[in-house]
Amino acid sequence: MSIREFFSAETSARPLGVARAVVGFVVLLRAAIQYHLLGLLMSGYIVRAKQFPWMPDLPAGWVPAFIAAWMLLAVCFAVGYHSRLSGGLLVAMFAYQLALDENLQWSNSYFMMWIILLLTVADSGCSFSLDRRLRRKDPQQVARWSTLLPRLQLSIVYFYSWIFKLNPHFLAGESIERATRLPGFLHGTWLPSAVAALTAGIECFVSFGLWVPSLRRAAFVLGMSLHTAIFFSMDRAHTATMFTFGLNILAPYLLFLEQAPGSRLIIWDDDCSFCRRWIAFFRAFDWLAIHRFEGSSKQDVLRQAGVTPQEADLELKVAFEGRTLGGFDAVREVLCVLPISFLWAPLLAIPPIPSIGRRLYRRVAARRNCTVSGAVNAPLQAKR
Amino acid sequence: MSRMRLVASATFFFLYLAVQMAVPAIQYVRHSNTFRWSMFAESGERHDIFLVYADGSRQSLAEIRNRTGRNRLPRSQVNPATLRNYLCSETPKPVRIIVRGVRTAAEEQYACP
Repeated sequence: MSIREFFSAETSARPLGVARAVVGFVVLLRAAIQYHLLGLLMSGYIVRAKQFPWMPDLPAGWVPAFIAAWMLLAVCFAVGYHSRLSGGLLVAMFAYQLALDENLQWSNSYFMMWIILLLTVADSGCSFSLDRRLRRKDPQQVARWSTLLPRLQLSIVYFYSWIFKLNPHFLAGESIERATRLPGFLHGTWLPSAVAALTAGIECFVSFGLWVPSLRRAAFVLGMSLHTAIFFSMDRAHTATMFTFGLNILAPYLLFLEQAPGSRLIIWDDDCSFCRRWIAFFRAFDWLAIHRFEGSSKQDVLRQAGVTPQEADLELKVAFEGRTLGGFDAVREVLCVLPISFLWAPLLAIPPIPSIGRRLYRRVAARRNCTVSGAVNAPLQAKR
Repeated sequence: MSRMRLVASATFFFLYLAVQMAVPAIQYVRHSNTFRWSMFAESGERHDIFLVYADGSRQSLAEIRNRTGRNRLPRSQVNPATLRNYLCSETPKPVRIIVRGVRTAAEEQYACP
């Protein structure tokens, strides 16, 4: 691939749009933390640590106005209303407060600033946005290189975080003992250092694993587990910050869902009201539009997927990349690419969950109620 | 894609990555705790800070904070070099600031102007 091809290649804008909505929501939540920190800083109640003495402070009493503007811009960014303008202004506000005082230079708000910048540059407002509803008619495509940067940013963060943790103090568990709610009687045991080593190991794995298709799902699960564990185990003083940071860092994971829109075919029993409810659920959360939904009554679709009408009536089918999965495995595969479930759905492949799931699926499928010709509710056995 | 757009895209892409790779490494070399994704890594030295007054008495920043609630630092690892200038203007005014490494116990002293 030449440089020109690399920078000309396009991809679906949908993952970017969904990531933008999540990040906008997180920035809105972050306003409460920022209000507290800025208020503290401007109150004269703490020792200042200005790196740039020439940087002007907010005028007295302006903190509420600053935060109100922050919240308004966060809402605009989340819903995708003039995303480039709102994103650009948010980046400027983050940059200002990071430059204002060293007390505000937290890694999580620093990370937030870069992600907003990248989502703004990548034109994330192209999809999943109010702008799309109101005025944009162009294809929901963006430059592929611009979706690579947030992903690379993610890997860089994990990479450095891992590298800097490879020191005797962290690996001895000092940080785990100091910053988490680990009970005191466990301090000085093997546990803090084991947790420290595990944390560093996960960061290393996620940093590289996200780029390897065969490891990606494991990286999703480990990344989600890491940030969930951080949220629940950190000292209470960090809870709100870690919640927003966790959401913010997990949002760009969405960009690793590279399946093209309409690339997966779901075949379902369109005579079945029970199945219809499941399909409505899948449709509602298929924000990346990866799936095409077709009823089993369409013979040409069945032929195309190599599925017989009997097989299609028996269980849900999903056809993708030359493979066809059915039943529980199909449901799992669908969940693995939905934005609300892709981080945890790979866990459904861990034994014995698949065998239990398949058995459960068969039992539910056999007992489901079906609406034949839109009028009669009858168990499946009666339909056959 | 126009040549202009190609050059702009490529410049942003490579410049951005260069900055993101370089800044944490530079901050590490400078022993600065910010902008390097250290994330509770404990790799940098932590410091105890003392304010020494004209009568020879001294108080740690932590003591002042615990007693009065003042001097709270939102970040726990603010660079002492930045902080000391501001500590000198505290009331009552200290004559000296002592920064002591928690692990190394190495002390640095700064006379207040």
